[in-house]
Amino acid sequence: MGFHSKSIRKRGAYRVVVSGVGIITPMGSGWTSNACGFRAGKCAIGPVTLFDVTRQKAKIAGEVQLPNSLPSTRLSYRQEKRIDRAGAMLLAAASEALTTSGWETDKMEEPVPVCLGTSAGSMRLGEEYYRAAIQGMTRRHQAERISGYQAHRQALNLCEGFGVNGPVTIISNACSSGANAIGHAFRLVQMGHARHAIAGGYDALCKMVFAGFDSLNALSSTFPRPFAVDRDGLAIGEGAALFCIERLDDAVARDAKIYAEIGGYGAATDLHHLTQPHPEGKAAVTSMSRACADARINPDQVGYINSHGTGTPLNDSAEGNAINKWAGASAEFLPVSSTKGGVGHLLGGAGAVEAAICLMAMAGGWIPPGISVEKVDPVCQFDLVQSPRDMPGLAVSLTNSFGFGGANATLIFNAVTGR
Amino acid sequence: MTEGYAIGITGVGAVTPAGWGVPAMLKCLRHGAPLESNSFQAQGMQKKYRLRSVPKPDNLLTLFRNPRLRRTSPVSRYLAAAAFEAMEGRSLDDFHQKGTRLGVVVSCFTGCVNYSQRFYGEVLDDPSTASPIVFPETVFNAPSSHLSALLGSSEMNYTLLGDDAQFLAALELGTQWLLDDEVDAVLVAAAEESNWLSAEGLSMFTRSPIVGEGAAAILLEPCRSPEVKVELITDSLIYKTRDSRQETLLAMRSQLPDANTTDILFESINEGTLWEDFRGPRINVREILGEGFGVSVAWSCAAAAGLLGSREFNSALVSGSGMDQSCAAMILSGH
Repeated sequence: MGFHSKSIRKRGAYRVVVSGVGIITPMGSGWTSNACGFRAGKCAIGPVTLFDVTRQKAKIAGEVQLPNSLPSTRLSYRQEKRIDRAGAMLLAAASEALTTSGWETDKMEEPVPVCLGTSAGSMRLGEEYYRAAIQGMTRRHQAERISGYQAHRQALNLCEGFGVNGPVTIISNACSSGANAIGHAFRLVQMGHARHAIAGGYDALCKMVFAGFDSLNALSSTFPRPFAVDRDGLAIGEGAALFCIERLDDAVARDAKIYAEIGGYGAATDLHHLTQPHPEGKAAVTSMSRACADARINPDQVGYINSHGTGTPLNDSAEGNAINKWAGASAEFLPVSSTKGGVGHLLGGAGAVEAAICLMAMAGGWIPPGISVEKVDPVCQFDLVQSPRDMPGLAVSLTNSFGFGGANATLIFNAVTGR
Repeated sequence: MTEGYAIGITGVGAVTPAGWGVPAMLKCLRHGAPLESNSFQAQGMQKKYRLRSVPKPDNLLTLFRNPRLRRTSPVSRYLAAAAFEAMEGRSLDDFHQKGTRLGVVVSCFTGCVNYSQRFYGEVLDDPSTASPIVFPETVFNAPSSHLSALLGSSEMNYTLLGDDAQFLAALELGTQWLLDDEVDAVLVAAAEESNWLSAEGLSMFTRSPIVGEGAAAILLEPCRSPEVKVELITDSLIYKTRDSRQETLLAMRSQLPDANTTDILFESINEGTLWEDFRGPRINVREILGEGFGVSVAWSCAAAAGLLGSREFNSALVSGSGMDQSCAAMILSGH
């Protein structure tokens, strides 16, 4: 890491794999409960209980049932007491990712970059800070709130809690943040800037963001049903997913479990509007094409797409058009689903969680179905998966993440065989 | 990036309490006297804060008539103005015709705090009437999104969050994108806007703080013989615990060659005796311009590049010890 003009060298070409995964969503905590839930097409969205929504149009969200205690870390009791909902989810995902990776962080000689995506992080602490400030209340706890609200602080808790030395990169590209963070970490390792990395995304529910999406009429007043012709919006969710990422040869040398190879990453910016995608999904076509070029595959080699599929009229039609254009003649046979009908839109956590779902699908040989779709939007010229489906030998999956501001990101994962 | 090329700084822009543009900033820094500050208070609140605000521009910049900037808060306007100054002399049409891929990296600490405060205030009053126009502008990457749209660049665009040292990490990311051939040029920028909430937060950690605001931007490109060259950016090192700050700063310094081989030092805050032995001139932009949060180190970088570009110095060291998260340093050399 760092930059030195005297050591400018050609780009590396390392194969990069995921060797540890941690996940927590409204579907549950950990790989197994999430894999079972997504495979079956369960819906974990329900009435909002975390804050008052009586004056909002929307009343539902995907809430995480937090574990009763934080995972075992090196943080002090006092530090743990300051960790809020977002930080708790981040630590839960980190604990599982590091445990499954088998990494012994104390023995890792090279820096372990931590690349996280989030859109609001611990906004609930920011909300508390603001309420206390305008009420002119005592300054007690205000310093903790303003410090804890910063996404970097949660990342530093992760580093201190698990003995990781960083550097820390927080990417806040709205709803594509998690995918961008994984893509960034992938590049660091692929190009030889780092030997390994921890990457993923997280976001916790908070009133401000909920009200924001509600003000835009982007939230469903019924249930989210991505790609249904009568879809009426999304449900917000919360959660986190983290990956341990390293070179294939390193993972093989230590006989680690390999979840998948990261085949490619593509990103592009949609200039159409701050909150609306270009109707034809131009930037989405670019990000998918770039990821494919990076992975050296053609669209017809992709076995499954976990779409961004929020359930808003504009997003799904733009993404549908983009997939049709990008896949061309092979679209008809391309299985596509959105898992946001089951857990909601996890914002900065979405890209990472949906990447983890791709790995689950590849590991188990199945495709997670979209749910609640009665009549499919005619934009879907592809195979919209609406019920649980087995897909043995699923070898290549792709996940899209698009965000406010036009941030578009695509990740491609390959099964690793014959190691 | 082809071998034999260096990474050069080919454009610099700044918006500071000293005015709009790098010349106004450099004039103020050369003078060396802290700018006058004003006091301000939040509506309905007793407490007063000190602020060095960005003066109103003499003329409304044509740039601000763009539909993307009509409803934005100051942070997006500062960012756009600094970025377009950095692009000055480089025709956007020329960029587009040549197919130059222009990436954007923006770093910030407090971000769109004015609209966030306004929107959340509306939510507390009555969430059913909260403004749908304001909410999108509260999102951290709204300013960088506007910037890409203004530049007409659909290439990669990242918004990085962190304290003021994050700008050096953003520059490092820019160098990586160039080395990895992701893009052909990268505009790296930072911007912050003043608000009593940030001032109140700062007052919990600093005695008698004076808040500043503004933006800075640096255009990075591969060049054979750049006027201003990025020689070195250290690792971005995190403060592992609250007590490890000094130890981390020393580790950062250990990655640098002898500091006295550089002509001028841009200091940061709370660095203790870190640069005690430095014999050349030194500038602390915070003392002169105010606490710019995520933009303070960016001002230092832009000023260093500006001074090297005008050949007043041959090399500069920018120390970026962040407030409470990380630190890094950079060395630039002139032609």
